[in-house]
Amino acid sequence: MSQFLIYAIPGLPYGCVFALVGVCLVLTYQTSGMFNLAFGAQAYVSAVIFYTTVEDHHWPLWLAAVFSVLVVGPLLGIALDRLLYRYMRASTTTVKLITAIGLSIGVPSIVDFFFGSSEKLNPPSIAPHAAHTYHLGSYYLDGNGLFTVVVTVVLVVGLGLLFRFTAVGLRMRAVVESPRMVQLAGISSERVSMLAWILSSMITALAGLMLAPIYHDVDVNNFNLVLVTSIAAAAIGGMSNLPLTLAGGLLLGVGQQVLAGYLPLNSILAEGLRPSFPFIVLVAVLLLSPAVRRGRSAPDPLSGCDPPPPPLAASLRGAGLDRVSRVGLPVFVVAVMYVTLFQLSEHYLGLMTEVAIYSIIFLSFTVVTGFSGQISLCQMTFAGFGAFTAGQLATDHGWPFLVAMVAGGFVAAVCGAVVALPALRLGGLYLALATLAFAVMADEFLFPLNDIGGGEAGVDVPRPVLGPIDFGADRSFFLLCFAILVLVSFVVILIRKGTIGTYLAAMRGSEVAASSIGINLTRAKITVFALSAGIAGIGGALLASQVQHADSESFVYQYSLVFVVLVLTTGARTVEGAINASLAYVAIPEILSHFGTLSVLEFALFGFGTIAYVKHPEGILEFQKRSSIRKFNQLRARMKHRQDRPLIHGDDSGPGGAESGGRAPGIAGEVAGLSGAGDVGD
Amino acid sequence: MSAGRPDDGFNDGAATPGGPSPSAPAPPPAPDQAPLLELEQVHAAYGPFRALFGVSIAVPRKSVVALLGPNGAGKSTVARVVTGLVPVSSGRVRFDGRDVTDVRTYQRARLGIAYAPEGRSVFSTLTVEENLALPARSDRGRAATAAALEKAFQAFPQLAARRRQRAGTLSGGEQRMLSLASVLVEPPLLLVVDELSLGLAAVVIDSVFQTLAAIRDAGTSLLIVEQHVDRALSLADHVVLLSKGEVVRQGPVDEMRALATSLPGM
Ligand SMILES: Nc1ncnc2c1ncn2[C@@H]1O[C@H](COP(=O)(O)OP(=O)(O)OP(=O)(O)O)[C@@H](O)[C@H]1O
Ligand SMILES: [Mg+2]
Repeated sequence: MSQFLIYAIPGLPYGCVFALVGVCLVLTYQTSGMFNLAFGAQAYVSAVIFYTTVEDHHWPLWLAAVFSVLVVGPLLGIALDRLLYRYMRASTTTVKLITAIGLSIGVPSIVDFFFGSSEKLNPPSIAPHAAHTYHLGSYYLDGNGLFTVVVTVVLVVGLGLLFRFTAVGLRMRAVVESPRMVQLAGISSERVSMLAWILSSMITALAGLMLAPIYHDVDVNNFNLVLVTSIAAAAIGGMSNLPLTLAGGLLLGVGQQVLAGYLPLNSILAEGLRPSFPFIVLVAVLLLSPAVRRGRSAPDPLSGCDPPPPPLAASLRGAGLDRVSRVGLPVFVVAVMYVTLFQLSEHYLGLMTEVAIYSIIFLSFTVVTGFSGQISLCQMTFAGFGAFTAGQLATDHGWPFLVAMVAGGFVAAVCGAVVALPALRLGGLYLALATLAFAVMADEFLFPLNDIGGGEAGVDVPRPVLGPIDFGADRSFFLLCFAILVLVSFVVILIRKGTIGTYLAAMRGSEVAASSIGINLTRAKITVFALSAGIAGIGGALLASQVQHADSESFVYQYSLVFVVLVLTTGARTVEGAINASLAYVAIPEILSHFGTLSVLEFALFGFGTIAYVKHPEGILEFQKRSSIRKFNQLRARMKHRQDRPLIHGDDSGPGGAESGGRAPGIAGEVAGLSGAGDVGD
Repeated sequence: MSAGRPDDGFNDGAATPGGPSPSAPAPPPAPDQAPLLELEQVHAAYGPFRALFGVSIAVPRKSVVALLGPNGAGKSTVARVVTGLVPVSSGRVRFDGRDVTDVRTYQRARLGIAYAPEGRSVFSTLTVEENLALPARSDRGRAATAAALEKAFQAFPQLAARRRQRAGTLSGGEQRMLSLASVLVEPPLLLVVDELSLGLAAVVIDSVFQTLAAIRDAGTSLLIVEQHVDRALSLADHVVLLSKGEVVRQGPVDEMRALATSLPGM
């Protein structure tokens, strides 16, 4: 027992922070429907401001703490709520998640722009007597840890009392169920949600201040790792139950330490356990918890006031435009190829190769998100599995690279199926969270392993050789990548037009209806998820082959987050969208690099692209294309003096809404934002 | 309340849906003669799906208007437009002498529009008491809230026994009672009730109608949607017949009785 406590007690501060952050996640998720994946970014803002005011401007600790927790934190919460979240109440899960991820990418980049991206080591603690060690018999806890525990207890008890016994708490609980019914009671539901945001932003800021000293560094990555563990805590609470979330957080914090303590020192298990814990717990909860499996218990009784989600639109493109693009596309492609191969310098040739490779990886998003409406936050992890498998097989076992690459794709696909299995039935949010936790586990545990990522040294990945043709030279490698891109594009189009694509289209219209006509949804979803992971794996192998190396840093989860935001903002439903996203990803840093300090803002640019996404969930590109098609059609109609405009109103009523005529609406609301185009023909 | 004064804001002829735009609205009459609620040429839609086509309805002060029509006629939509849950795409909504077309739902509630939606519209995770306490204005203090609660329990004694039970665990009829009780906690100026008697036992319906008559006498106007035409007509002063999103006929209850009972699909 005493041995247990020796391990358990140092885990308490961690557990408290996990619990606190988990409670914040539940609070905002319930009152505003936003799952705050931008927690890390928010905590980072306050922690950096605290650090800067204390270290650079020599403010007294208490003043800096009050300023960053009680002023900066809430202001940020209000700003986000007023400028962004308020307009997203009716948005789909996908849009909400992507927006939060966009913020989590964009905000730290802005912070670094203003406060410098240098390391901020040894941040001061706000705890009184932080360095003092408190003894309790043979157990001890340092001042910062004790302070964290005390603050958590006070806050959680306070929140509990607030919820149970005050009018504000009652309103917050009511808003959870139906903001509209709260309004009918004469209460501004928006003010209630804003209050919840202010509250949770304050706690978030405080968590940031308490966490930084534990890690001896102000680093947004640490906050994000805490977020992932707290997600598991929130999942234990079924995303709704605060006491359970609290218990979950404590369990995770203490459990990590205790297990690590009992396992042999420096063993793989001990090393890997901590980073794997969130994923394992999350999967366990997804599989076992009846509350989670039931989903949200109380639907809004007034949901009948909402219009149905937009139906699937038929092909929007007229035959004329189709013909133009059928001729235009090959001409364009040949022109690009010619210029790339014969005109560009080595440097730009390399960039174009990257464009082709990233296009392949991005096409994996097209398949998983664009076609089936699921969000995966670990596509780069799958790419990593592809790359490491290919590298190990080719270098150590002498396989021809192209064969090894296909094997890599296969391994990635298997990983994809395994990861998706527990979460797929629950869809949307849970799948996204499970994939995020998986990505973190891979980064921290799997990829650094010698047998997977080659340890410190990484893995050497050769350039391909195909019989007599050596793709070692950059030009021929570009050609190969381009050929594979074309191949993958065809596969993607085939998926969409084939059986699976049809199933998925039916599923996006209405899951219930689709399953009622005998479509096995789970199998279709898993197939798609695995295919997408496989495509990412092939892309990852090529990516590593280009630089002929891969290590555990090459495929960290941050890439996946940036990519998912990027692809969805440009347009996740078409091959074109993926290629454009890839162009943007390669070109923007290249352009920014000519502007010195501005290059910090690269991720801000990608991140805040999501604001455009909120307005055009079908993707910016898709939106542009559609509005020009619409204008083109209007023009044609006017010239023909035909009056065949549909008898429904609504000029821009969401994706596919206006054009689709009065077709029968689907039931599924979840993927409404993504359920627009069965997408333009190619 | 006498039924059918000719000067209380009703035109007896059929409305002119889709007709010329509401160009020249009559000059506003003196405030106490003007109807409490007035919809003027209201068009409304759910996204791309249109539901109301130029509906004009007036609810005079201290009177009961019954909204009748076949399924899908747009009765619930009218109720949602009145409360602001569904925005109008064109037309005006006036309440108590002011234009509330762009006023938010919660502000309309504060102005005195209460709404009992159709179905089990309760907060299922809150207890019965909490459901009733929510709309009670917080600025009146605990004593007033408690008094309002007691009144609600008097009207629906069955709820009193279950005051600490979660509303989600009540029976369908009890939930319906609860949602009616929560709009009656604070007597509003206008009470909009959708599918009043759906799911309630005959005895309960009788007592609900008595309660409604009582609050009508206390000065509240009512806009009720009711499938039991006879019951509706027994309480109503005026009747509005709605079909396919348009007002077919409206007028004092005496003139409308024969027509309302003979309408197909009702
Ligand atoms: N959320 C919605 N989305 C799209 N159309 C809707 C929605 N709610 C109602 N409608 C449509 O609006 C029209 C009017 O509906 P409404 O609910 O107002 O009818 P109702 O008169 O209340 O019918 P009932 O007697 O069946 O309750 C119907 O054609 C209906 O299909
Ligand atoms: Mg109805």
